[in-house]
Amino acid sequence: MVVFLGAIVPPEEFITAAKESAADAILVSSMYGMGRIDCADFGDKCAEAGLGHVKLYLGGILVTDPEQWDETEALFKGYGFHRVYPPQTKPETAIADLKKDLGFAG
Amino acid sequence: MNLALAIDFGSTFTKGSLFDLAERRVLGIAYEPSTVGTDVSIGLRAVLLGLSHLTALPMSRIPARVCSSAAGGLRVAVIGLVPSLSLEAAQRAALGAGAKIIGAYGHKMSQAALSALEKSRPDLILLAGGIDGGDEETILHNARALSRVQLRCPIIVAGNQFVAGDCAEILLSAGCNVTLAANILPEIDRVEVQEVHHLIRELFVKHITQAKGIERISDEVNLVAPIIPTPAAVLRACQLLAEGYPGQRGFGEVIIVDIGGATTDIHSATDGAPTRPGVLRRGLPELFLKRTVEGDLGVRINAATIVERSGVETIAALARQLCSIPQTAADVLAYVERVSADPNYVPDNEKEAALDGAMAHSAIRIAIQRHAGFVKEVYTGAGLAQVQYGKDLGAVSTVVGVGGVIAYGNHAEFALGGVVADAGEPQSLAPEHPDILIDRSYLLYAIGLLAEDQPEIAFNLAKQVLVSSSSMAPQITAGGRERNSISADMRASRE
Repeated sequence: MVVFLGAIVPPEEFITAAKESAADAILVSSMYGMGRIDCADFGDKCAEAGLGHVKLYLGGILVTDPEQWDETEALFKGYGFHRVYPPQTKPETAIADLKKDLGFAG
Repeated sequence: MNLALAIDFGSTFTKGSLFDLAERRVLGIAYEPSTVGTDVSIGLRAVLLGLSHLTALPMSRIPARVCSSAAGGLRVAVIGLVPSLSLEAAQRAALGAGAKIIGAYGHKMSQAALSALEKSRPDLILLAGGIDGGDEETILHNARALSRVQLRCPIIVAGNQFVAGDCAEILLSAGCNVTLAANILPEIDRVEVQEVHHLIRELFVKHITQAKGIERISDEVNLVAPIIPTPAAVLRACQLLAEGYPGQRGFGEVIIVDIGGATTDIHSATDGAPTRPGVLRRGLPELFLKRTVEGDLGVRINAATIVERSGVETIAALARQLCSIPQTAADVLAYVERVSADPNYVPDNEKEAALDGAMAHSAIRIAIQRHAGFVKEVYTGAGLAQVQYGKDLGAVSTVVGVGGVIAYGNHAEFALGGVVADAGEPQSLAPEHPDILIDRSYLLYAIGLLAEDQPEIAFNLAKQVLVSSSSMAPQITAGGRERNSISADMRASRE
């Protein structure tokens, strides 16, 4: 089951929806460029909400010039995300990772 | 005459003040060395004797309000889950109730953490963790851990409501004294401290004042309100000054700085909203009434830490601004050694007074930086953004200073200047242009005690007794002597 939350969603809404739907993973696409502010304590908030077991994925517009991708990736992993994707990543890549992480890989 | 008595059992002094509420006047104040270590009533009787000539009424009949920070104050250990969320909320709740935090434990408690907690012998434990419907595992683990150690102190469970009852059961069946409260972090972005504050106050009266022998005073005075922790009274005074009372606006945003020999406490009554345009606010929501305690900053026992944090050259340079006699780094270090060895030391000359002023200024500067929020610049895909964490104190209208070095030192205004925002640290959100007032008579605790049921009188008394640093001390007499002679007595007894 996929619960789609729409655009410009604050972290609290992801958490509420994930608890309500007993989600196994939360996929965040940060498109409006504020990911560094809104995602800074995403992992901590999930832990407090009892979602420590939930896989957290992040993609979208995350890099700021002139930062290198590995710096960006390390930053967001520090915020609690398990997988962080650079721009232009195809949905298939994240889907394949999800299957693997959740043990559905065939 | 409509008399009222306010008493504060401090760790060093027992203080008493007598008011004529009908006339809105302070009749007198008295101090005596604390006798909490032996029998609290001895110091109290001496204070009452010092005030007794001011009225024909027996002191035991005058309505009395009492606060206490004696015998270590209210020593609380807090337990939560995520350090920046439920543990932070628990610390704020305890500090706001007037507690001294003696241990803070996040996530699942290890055996080492449990032993440290046991050894610290808290007066009370606040067990939090998980939002409502959120994490259950950690708070349950911690309740089980607490049930395995021999703790006699009361435990307040204020975490995830879905398992708070189970936690209480676990602790009750182990023979613990447990009280259930609403979650202090019911949602990820909501902090609720009211019920915990209320319970801490109740437990303070029921268990803690008894354990410390303070409840015995009910034979000596006519208690008309429950005894509260002194910091809670000061925080109440801060709120009254900021908000005023029905029909009278207060001073606006207010800060009280209380600097002692071992700690520096900052109290703020502000919503802390951004004063800079375009700033986004993030982090755990702030409480209107906030108190922080810096256990490493004090002008006697922790003088060496102030110098270590600020730099010996900085302290020497600040002291040079206050005194025509040149001060060197060696002078600073020698003075630090002297006052650390003798916490009751009072400056003997102009040079020492300047060093006290410089250390107090530095301690207050660090304490306000820790209390105030900060702005962080974040580069986003949409450009540079300014994000505020914590309270913006830029619009604070009034800063009130209290403490020995403020009340009796020669450089109170300079010391309190440490609160003002430093141009060199633009990210810090300290007060920009506050008015500075001084509690020369040590009456803030009494203002806070009276504020509860006499806010109008308390507010007007505060306006009389708090003085701007450049003006004279208010004329308050006690024992037929002018107020300054009381301070001279204090100095004598300290020496």
